[in-house]
Amino acid sequence: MKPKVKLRILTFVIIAFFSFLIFKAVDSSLVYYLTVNEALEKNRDFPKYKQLRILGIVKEGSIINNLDGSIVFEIEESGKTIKVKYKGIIPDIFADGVEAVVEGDFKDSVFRADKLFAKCPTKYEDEEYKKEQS
Amino acid sequence: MINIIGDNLIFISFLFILLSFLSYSFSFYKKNSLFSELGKRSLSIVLIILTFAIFLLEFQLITKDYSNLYVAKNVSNDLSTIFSMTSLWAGQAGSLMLWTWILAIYLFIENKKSLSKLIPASRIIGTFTLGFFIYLICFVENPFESADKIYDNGRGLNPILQNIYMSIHPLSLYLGYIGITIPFCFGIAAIISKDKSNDWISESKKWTYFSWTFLSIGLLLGSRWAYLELGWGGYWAWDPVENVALMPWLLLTAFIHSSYAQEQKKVLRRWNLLLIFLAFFLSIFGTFITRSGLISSVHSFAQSSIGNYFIVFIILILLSSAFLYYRNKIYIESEKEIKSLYSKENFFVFNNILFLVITFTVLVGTIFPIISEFFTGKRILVGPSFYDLVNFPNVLMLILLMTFAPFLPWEKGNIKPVLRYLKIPFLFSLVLSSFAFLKFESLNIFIVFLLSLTTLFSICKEFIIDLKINKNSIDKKFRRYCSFIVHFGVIIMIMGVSFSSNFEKKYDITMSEGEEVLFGDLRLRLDDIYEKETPAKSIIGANIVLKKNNNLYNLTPEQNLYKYEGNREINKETEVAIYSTFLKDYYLILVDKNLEGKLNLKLYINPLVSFLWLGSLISIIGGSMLFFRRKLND
Repeated sequence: MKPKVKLRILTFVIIAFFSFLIFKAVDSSLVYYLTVNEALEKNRDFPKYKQLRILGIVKEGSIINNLDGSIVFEIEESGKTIKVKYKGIIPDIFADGVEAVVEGDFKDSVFRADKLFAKCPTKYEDEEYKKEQS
Repeated sequence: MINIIGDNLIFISFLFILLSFLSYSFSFYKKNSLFSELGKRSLSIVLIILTFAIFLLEFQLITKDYSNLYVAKNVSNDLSTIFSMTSLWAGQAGSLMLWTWILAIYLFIENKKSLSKLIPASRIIGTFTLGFFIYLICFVENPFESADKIYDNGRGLNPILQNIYMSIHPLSLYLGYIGITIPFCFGIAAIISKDKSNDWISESKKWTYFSWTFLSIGLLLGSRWAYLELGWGGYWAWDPVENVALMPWLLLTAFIHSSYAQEQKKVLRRWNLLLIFLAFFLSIFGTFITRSGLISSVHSFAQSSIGNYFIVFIILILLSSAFLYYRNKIYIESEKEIKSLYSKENFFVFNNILFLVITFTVLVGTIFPIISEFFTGKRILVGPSFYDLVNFPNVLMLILLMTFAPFLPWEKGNIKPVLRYLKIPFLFSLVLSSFAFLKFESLNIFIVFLLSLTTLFSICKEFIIDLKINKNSIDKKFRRYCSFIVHFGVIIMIMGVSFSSNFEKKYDITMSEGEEVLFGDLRLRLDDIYEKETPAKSIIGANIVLKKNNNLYNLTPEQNLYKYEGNREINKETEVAIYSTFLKDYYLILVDKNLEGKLNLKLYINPLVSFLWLGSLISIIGGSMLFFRRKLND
């Protein structure tokens, strides 16, 4: 066989292998990304075993610190809220009124989060600031 | 007043860059050197004006001139001078201004010293790109926009961004990102001038080393910042913003290898052009993704109209590159073909395939939410395990290539001498990794160690042989040694990453004053909890003693609450306390003080994180040596 042909075959094998791997990996690491309303409405449409990630605003005054370091709070979108329980590292920027993303799944009506993100401060443009000015 | 001057300076520079672009284009098509001179002069004027403008902006930042909107948004009275200076790239308009200025400097340097016949054509592309950025700062995101009233105090910089790593990190990434523009210009120039030589590769060489080094520094500083400041115990999270910085780096790494093959053996010509187009495209695409708000990231770059301009620019680049590429396809064919499977150049091809696969994986992961929403209407994203699953075997294969490729000959390859050469390093490595396997009982670690150590020992073997026998060959092989240093660092880094991600330990602790907690051979004692008030912040902290093998270390994790008068929404800052040793990092976070007066703490024990920093540093040293050496030689 010519080296060029061998090279083609090998390339094909490598790419096929990784394509397969990518499909497998996508399947095993899927996370549905929803807003609060979508999560409340469509909760039943999503297979139970998959992780959900929900975006919402932390409701003012809803954060309760428990003795063991876990927190309970509510995230809201246009008046509707979801109660979240979380134990883990709390991002510095997490506070009342910030945009937060929680990842985990529903146990009854409480969302058990194993990850909590709050939007990072690398703000390139602050729309509110502009509004305040005008 | 200064705002108006700055604004006008940028507008004038826009006129001059237009003039420069038009004269270069005209001189290229009419082969008229007079116009080329005009283009060159106007480009120099552009640089002078932009330099002046950037000094003006710095002056405003340092003197805290709040009549400038950008200054009011990004600095405040209590901000130190050094962070006021680095606020130049804390916001969008300033970043773009800096980007533009750096690009102008690069083009000017290239303009001055290079005599290549590719220069006229490459200048057309260069001035066009520069023109795009000047247009942005002139008409879309102007850093000299006036505030409608003069503020007493500005908005300021977030406390967690007031960190020396964070202030250099974007600058370094920019230096790298923008550096890719020059090889891209040369690539396009080679196509439009139907140049059959390999000049564009040799012209771009120093720029690729330069960009690679600065992108690496930028990535390293970014992860170091995340590790020290963000307080979640890790250094890389596969966040979209991190991913878009990584992709050009990956492609540049691939390009450095394959362009070396083209330079030496005149193969892979077309392939290299494609690679550099892709790298440039991804560097612009990255800027677009993070700024347009198309992908939600934990870093919220709020959405701005600037995304639309980038889309137009990206489409323009893609279409014109593709058009030129296909129209002039026959001129850019390689002179030679790859002759043997076991040749160095062929292993470079495999290297390229693997790097492209990683890049593709990262790209898919990054834009997955968009793709899935487009096809299914549901926003679905992939978690970090996606990247780990695909990249782990890939990196193993890359290490395998790193073991073999440096010792394979060009063209006619024969694998047997290489296998003979690698026998001793492999045996050494097998013994050591077996020990590692017995201790850690992990097959993954065994494989990583086996491959990594073989590579390390194979490199050491060559160094030893050269030091003993071929002493005078050292100068001739400088480039080879540099690449070995880079490989050496990368391997150390990979070992650090695989170890720290596999064996991280995490504990939640609740303890009261005077209490002592045991973790195996490790003791933690909480001596006291203190609360302090300063004008700027209230602090809760703890004096904790960590005891290991009869050694005592003091750790003082803190939680700061800033008192702002301004409108900064973030006021909490976690000060992580880290005790780093060569083998393990003890990473302690104070979560809060609960109602009973006890402290909630988190302890991470991260093994071999020091390898990650050390390895990256070694690679960066190797990369910069390559750059400086080339500069001295040619």
